[in-house]
Amino acid sequence: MFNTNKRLALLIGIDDYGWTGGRLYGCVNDASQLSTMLSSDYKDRPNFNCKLLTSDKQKITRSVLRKEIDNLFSQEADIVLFYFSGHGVENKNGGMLVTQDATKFDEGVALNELVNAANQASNVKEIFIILDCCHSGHAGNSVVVNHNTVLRSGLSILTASLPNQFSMEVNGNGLFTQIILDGLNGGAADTLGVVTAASLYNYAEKILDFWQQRPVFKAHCSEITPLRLTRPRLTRKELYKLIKYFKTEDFKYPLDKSYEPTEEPKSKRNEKIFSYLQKFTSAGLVQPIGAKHMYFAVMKNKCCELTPTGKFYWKLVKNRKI
Amino acid sequence: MVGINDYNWKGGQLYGCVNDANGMTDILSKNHDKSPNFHCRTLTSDKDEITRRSLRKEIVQMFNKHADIMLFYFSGHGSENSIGGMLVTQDAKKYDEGVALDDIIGLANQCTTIKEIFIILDCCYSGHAGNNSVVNNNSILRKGVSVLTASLPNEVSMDTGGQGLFTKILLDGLSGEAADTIGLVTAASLYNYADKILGYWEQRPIFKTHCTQMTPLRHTKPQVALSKLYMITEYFPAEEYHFPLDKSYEPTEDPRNGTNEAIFTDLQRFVSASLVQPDDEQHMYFAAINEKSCSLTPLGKFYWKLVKSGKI
Repeated sequence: MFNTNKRLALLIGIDDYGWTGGRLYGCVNDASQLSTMLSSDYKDRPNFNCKLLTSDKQKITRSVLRKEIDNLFSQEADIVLFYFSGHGVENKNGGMLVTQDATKFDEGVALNELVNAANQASNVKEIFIILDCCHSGHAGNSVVVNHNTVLRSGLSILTASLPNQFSMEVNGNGLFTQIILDGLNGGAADTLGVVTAASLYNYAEKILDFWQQRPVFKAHCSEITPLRLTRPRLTRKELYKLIKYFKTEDFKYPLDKSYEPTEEPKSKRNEKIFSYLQKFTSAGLVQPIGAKHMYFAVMKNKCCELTPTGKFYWKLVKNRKI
Repeated sequence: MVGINDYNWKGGQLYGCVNDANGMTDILSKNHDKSPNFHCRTLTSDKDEITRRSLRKEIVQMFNKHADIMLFYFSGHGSENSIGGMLVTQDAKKYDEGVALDDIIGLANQCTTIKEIFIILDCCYSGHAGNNSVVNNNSILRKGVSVLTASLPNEVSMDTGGQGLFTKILLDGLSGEAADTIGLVTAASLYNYADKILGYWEQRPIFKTHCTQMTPLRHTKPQVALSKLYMITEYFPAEEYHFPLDKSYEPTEDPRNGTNEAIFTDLQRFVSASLVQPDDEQHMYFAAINEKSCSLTPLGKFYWKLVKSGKI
């Protein structure tokens, strides 16, 4: 579906720390599971070309992480995704990703470095940075501009928590990553099964309550890019029937008993149309008028019409935008 | 809400901008159930003279307010120079066209009395908003500021049939086409909607945000009423639960059972909102007749979690 040479993801998970923050338990899982999730879509077609670095397989030091970040943002690609799960710390200059060789006052790689590298990556069209670590909300903020966020066009940042907050681990995963995984698996998808950074944030923001950590979303975009395709509620082919049955956005499609297979008179053609109309109804695109169900609309010779969401997809199909 | 049609400036008269501002006022003032939404102040060039001075005054006063949410909307001419973009006012002259986008974003970024700020611009070159020449034209945004613009920094924005093309799309989105299952339209869902509707040959809208929550801009008619949605955890005690069906749920079949038929009506409502799906059957009718079951879709699990944890 996607050219994975042009969609690159670097995923990093660190559990093993000698540092004062102590050992973590969910970060290797987080990175590994996210790597699996992002590698392919719901049909096992390639999605992201993922590079996974985890502390159970190799030592992730400051210099290793720097090298990987530098390498990642030097690529020529349509999309680059950076994910980190591990410890995070903050100091007066912002936040840091803690590496395994962390020492006091030298904990790892500054979020400023990471975001600066992203802001300057001129060969990459779109960049997504997803961080599940404490204090990750600093990412993108700059002391130079009063802790406001500085983002180039095409950069989006999703973080597990506010700058001054911790991020939690539950049941062997980061809480935030657990939610991201559910969202990417379809919970945050639209009618066509597309999950985007904004829909993923919307999903996470709703699931997390205000007493827990608060995720942060920062974006500067000129389009909404799919992060992953999940099972669509309707196929593209089915969706194109919308403009066949609804000549205009406001058309009211008249129904009668010939549409319902269990009733007389029989009409093969109308029964087939009705099966599509019911699919549209199940996907929230069509609704019966003056009847609770399509079945009753048919029995009472009522009409059906496009819902607001239905009108949206009708326009997209009509103008061949999908 | 600001809309300017009447210009003596070289860009010429516009025709849709007053309509735009009035249309946005109408839709944002009330939710679908007529409950109040935004308290709107509307300035249009058919009623007010909108000069550089008056627009600046309005903007300064706006950002001095104490509020949860502030929304600034402008429809009119935009211009650009090497420093950035400008909202063109009625007294525009060459090299003095109006109010700089930098000034507006600067005030928004410094505003400490308003939690969330939405800036929506339907004018040419509006994509400059938030970008700053000091940081290589990257955007600078404080927490809680979101910017939606009609076009890229270097692009003109179109007027169609007495309405800005971008605003027409925003109005459709706000009226419900950009809403989620419970009818909420947010800045991100609105942008997603506009992004899809506008192709790449037309103007390209821009979205910039720095947020810690997705705030509804408008409540539209929900696909499932909240009172019905709350039943989802009654019918599905667990996320993975398969609700067993039989003929007693289907009103056209024997045995009849009023309680089950009422439950079935709710379940079918959930199906039509993509929250529930029949297992191994195309339709709920057949799932009932053939004594199969139904279960939550991924979207259904999302709302199940929200209801279960009392978040909606």
